Amino acid sequence: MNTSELNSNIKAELSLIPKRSQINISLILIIAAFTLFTSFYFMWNDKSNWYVPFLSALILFLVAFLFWWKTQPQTDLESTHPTIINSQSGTQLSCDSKLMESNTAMTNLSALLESLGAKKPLPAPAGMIDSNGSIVEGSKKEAERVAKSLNDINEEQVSKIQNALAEEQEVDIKLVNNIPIDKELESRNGVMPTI
Amino acid sequence: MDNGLTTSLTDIAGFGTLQTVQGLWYNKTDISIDGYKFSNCRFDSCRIFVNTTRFELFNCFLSQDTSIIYGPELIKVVKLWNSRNELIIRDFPVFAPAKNADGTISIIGTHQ
Repeated sequence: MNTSELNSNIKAELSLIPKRSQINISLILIIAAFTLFTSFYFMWNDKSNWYVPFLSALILFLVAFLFWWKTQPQTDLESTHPTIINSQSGTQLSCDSKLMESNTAMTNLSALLESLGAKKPLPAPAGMIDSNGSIVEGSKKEAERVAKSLNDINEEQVSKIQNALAEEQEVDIKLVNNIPIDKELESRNGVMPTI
Repeated sequence: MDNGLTTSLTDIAGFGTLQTVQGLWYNKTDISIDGYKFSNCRFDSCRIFVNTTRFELFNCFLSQDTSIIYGPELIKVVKLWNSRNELIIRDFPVFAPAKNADGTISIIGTHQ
């Protein structure tokens, strides 16, 4: 065996500095440890109620573990770079890497990205039509007002979304998961009968 | 979470749904229908552009001289639908997959 193959370089870095929500977990662990030592003290001195701090410590350890289990994936992704998604139309979406943890959030963001690229403002209409489908004479001005109103709403939404995505912020995945993206429409158009 | 972000996400939710266009008449104009739900609208001598399946037409009238221009990604589904329809393959190649000499077909969009 070549000696160079034996020259492995092992480097590990251990950091015990708690971050963000881990600070709360650390506090719970400290209290749990203190409570556990209290129960040991009670046992050592033959106190009859030793099990009270003992059970309390067990519960606190359990709570700390559950908190850690829930927050660990997000803590691991805390220092990651934003994920950038490019659409075919050239639209670029920068989002928090923590969103990658949720398939639903990613599906909704993908649909949103396609919407941003595909949707165009309404052109000026020629007029309005009534409930019978007939053209209403002299309704061009009113039709243009309706189209402009819809375009303004659309433009405002795009502007707000662009501002929201440009800002560095934490996004609640639950909210993104609940974005309605016309799933029914997508699924209906996606299913076609075989010939 | 602050109210500003919640507002932004509400806007995102609004953008994700189809925007309803009610009772408008379009005449001799180009219009992209992606992202809209057209309800009781009329299109005369128009060119309708469509690139995604994110649209709806509800009780709308399209004149015979209104043309529909399908985007490359959308047309792939039509080509797949017609993949074994020899009549379409022969007479309307734009709506049919490319037929190779060995009998296989090719449907290629903009995703490469």
